[in-house]
Amino acid sequence: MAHDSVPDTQIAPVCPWWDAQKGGCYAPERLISYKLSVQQLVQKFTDSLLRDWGCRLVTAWSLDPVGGILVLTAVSGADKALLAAVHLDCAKHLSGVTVDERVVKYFKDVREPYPDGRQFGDRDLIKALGLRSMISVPVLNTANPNQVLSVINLFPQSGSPLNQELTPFYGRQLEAVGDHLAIKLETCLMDASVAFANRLRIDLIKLGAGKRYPERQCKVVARLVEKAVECNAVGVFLETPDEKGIELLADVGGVYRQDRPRNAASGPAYAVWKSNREVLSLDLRQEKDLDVEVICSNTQEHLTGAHIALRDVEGKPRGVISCINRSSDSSHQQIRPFTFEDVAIVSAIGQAFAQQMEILLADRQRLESLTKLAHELRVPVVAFRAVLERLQTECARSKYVFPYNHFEEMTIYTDVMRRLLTELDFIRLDPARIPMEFKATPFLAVIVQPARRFVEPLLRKKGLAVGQIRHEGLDGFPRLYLDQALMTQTVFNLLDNAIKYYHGDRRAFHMMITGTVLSDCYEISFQDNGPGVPKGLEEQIFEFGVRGHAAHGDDVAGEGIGLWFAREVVRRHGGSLELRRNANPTEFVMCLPRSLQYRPPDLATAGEEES
Amino acid sequence: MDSKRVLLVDDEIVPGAIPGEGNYMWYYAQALRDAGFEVVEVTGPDAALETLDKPHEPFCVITLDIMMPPGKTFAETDTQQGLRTGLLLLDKITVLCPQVPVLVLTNVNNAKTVGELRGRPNVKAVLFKPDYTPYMLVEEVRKVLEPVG
Repeated sequence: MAHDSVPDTQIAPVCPWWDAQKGGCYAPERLISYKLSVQQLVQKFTDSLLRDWGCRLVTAWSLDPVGGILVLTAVSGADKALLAAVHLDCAKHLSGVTVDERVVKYFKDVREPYPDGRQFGDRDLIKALGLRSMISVPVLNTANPNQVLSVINLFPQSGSPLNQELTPFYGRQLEAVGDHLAIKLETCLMDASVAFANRLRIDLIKLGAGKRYPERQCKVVARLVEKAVECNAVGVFLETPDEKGIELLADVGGVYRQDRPRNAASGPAYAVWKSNREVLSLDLRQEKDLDVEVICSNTQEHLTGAHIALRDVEGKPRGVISCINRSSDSSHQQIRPFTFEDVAIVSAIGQAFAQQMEILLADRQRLESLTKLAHELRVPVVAFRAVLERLQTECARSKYVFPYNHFEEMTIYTDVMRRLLTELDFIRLDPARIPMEFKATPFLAVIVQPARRFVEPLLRKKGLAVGQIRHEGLDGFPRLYLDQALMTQTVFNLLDNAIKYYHGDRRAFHMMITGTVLSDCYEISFQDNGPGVPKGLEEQIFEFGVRGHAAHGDDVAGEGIGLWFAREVVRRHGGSLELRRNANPTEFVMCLPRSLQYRPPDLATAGEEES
Repeated sequence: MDSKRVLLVDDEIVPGAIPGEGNYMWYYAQALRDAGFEVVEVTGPDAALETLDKPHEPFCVITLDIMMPPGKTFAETDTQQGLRTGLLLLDKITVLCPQVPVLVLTNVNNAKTVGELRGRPNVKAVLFKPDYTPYMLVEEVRKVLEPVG
């Protein structure tokens, strides 16, 4: 092949859409792993080509994702001393293949410079190694043949079959070599991308935590995808409840709301959901031979996109993430085509999201059931309390006296039911959404005394007496702004816990509630001589659903909610509840701010520690 | 205020039903009657507005449930599955009889709704049903009617 048939030597930039300011198509975090992966892989590849194809020298040039130019990434066949003296630079040296042709090429004599003055290699290197002909093999992106990932230049030895004009047979063989490296590179990049996506998944979980509604979750995912693959519009579609179609739940970039109906019964996203596969949309003119479905028609040639199915753990499609790039000019030269690497990243995010959605939906169903149950339970509880009160009044009017105090027993149990409903609300709702009513309250008379009465049935059941719960210092407290029902429940829970887990000598049981006025708070200490809290569980016992080790072995009812509830309530009062001592005696300490003497807590700041 | 008429609005009311017929709101109404009040019981927004729209003897207090079916009145309005029916009805009550104090008696335990209710000038208290037995409601009605100062 004559030199004048060698195309223009202008190599950089290979891809005009690769905007250096944006750091290329690869997000900055991905650059380092990208470069390392490429160098290691390509070096191994050139080593094997040198051996297998009888070459004197093999060089490889690979795309620098930032500069958008080809840079030398591997050399095989030259010793280190020689290479140390050589600096191959794409500005001075030809890589061999140009962007426009992207086919295997044969160059007869590399000693002659190219007409623009550039050399095929370093002159000293060519001389030292006695190089003559060169075969240049492009390594093309399998999804986007316009993108040159690498160029391999083989300098055959004198006896090599490559040392002549290429025959169709060798041409195809060498194309296969290029494809082989392309697949290896893409696999390697995909692995790196999935690792990158896995890091994003952690972000996703962090970002998504606490967001109860799919719309918000979808928005989080859309933003994450937008950042990860640097596209300019993302839509997240989820399956409709009847599983007959998909609907757009969130988008960024604003493409969808304007141009597409919310419920998609057709179109690319719908097709992807229906067929359960990924689709790359390539905005290329030479797309006929691609083994991917092309979804953009010619009339939409200013868009490129990737549509990725969201699958549940069984692999069933539950939605689609659509990424779109739009050209900023009519020539659409600035559009970045999507690659399988992008698909791998979005798929990994999608997979994490789909799994999270399943958990979320299950959680929603659980909450809906709890809400329904809580509402249904309230009616009989309210009715029962109303009837009981009436019965008590009518008996009193007729002067009928029962031999035992049935009414008190029934009142206590209905009260237990009422308080359990309050706890149920705390479980099903965010505690911050529980309404609170603060009233100036005498702590001893309105909080502690009722709580002591409420634990009476349990005390009697265990052969204990209410007199074994004593108090001191509380009558010195002023009235504090408290939610009476919730604070009584809190004190009840602390007493109930101490009594429930006590298994010692009945006469020895004692519990002391001590009130102390400190400079910054009202401190209420609850001491008991029960089995205590195992070391290491001091904080865990306040977590939702956590019970002490001893509790699991005991035949004691409980769900590990009482202390969690108590701490939440105290925090909502602007105070704190801590375990001060594990055992002998066990001591819980509640601190309520002094300001409660004058005003209710500021709910905007109360409890912010946990939020 | 001289009136001793209380309007009880609650979808749990079964008109004409007596104890044993699934009408627990009877106990609330009866406790008020025992305390000397005249009680008018209505089951939802339609009946409440019908009562208040036509000429009537004034009410001293209105007790209002929040979560109720929308009825014809709010059939075209988004009541969020009945969760806001009481709030919407409260708007109309406020227009029809702005001077009458309202006691909300509800099972709805939601900070947003309760906060919204507490912000209304004619709402004197939000009573959570499980916390308020019939005689406790009577006490709240009396408190509302106590002369200020």
